[in-house]
Amino acid sequence: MAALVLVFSVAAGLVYYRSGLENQVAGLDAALTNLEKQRDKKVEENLRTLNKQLTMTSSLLNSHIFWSKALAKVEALTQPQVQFSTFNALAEEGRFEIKAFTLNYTVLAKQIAAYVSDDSIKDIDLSNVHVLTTGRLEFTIRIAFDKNKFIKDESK
Amino acid sequence: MIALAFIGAWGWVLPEYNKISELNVALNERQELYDSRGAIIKKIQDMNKEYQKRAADVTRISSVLPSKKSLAEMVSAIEKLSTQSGLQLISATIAGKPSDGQAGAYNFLPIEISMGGGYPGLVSFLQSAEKNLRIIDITTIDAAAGVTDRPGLLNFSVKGNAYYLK
Repeated sequence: MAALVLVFSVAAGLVYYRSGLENQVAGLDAALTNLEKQRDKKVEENLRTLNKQLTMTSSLLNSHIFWSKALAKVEALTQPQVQFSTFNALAEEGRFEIKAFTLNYTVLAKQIAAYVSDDSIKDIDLSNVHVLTTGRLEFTIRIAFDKNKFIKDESK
Repeated sequence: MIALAFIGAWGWVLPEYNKISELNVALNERQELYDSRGAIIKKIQDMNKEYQKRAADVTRISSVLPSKKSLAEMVSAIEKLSTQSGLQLISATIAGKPSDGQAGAYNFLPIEISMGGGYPGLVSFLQSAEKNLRIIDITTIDAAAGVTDRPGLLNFSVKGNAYYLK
């Protein structure tokens, strides 16, 4: 009889305890629903956009192209007796093509040597060299450059 | 009586005990979820306060890499850059579609501009474009002498990219 009473008492206690736990679970479910209602989707979207902007801006600035720096370098390396008629600068291909005039082959050789001396210039091709009726030389130089040294800000 | 007690324990106490174990697991899971979500919401609220406090900086960052194409602003910027550099803007094309396949979280906005003017003007244009608040990368420059009677006047064709978020 005592064993039966004990089992009944334990079972009743467990039922009571389970009921309390169920109430706690229901209470937490309600609290979670309430938390969900506190979320401001617009604010979250603004913060997400700002995060993307900061991340992408940093990556874009690291690969930002500085042609003014490259042109200043070309200017500094160009001989005074060389006159450009056209130039094409292509960042992605890492190429700078110049069509120019000069006085003679000596100046042309000096010009090539000046470009080659710069460590940002990887290779030079010379083509279409011919003498004009004026006695001047017309030529085309194609420069292959190191993008990191030629058109990027090395201080970064 | 003892047999009845065993049956009672088997049929009533044991199932209750199992249910309580399951409820304890569920309760712990919910408590952890509630704590973590509460912490996240608190963090978002704090970040939003900081966001509001730094609204001016946020606006500047939005100008560097806008969330939209902002074509009108781009046109104004190009016009301003060329005018300030003393170049004559001959033509401009700014066109680009959102691209799904590109890496990164931004779209390209290709720019193609034709201008006329002197070489110092081109250098000034490039310097201003490099410092422009909205990031512009000039990818290609074509320069050629213009009319023969005005040797200082050159024609420039400049191609580049601006960017906006996907």
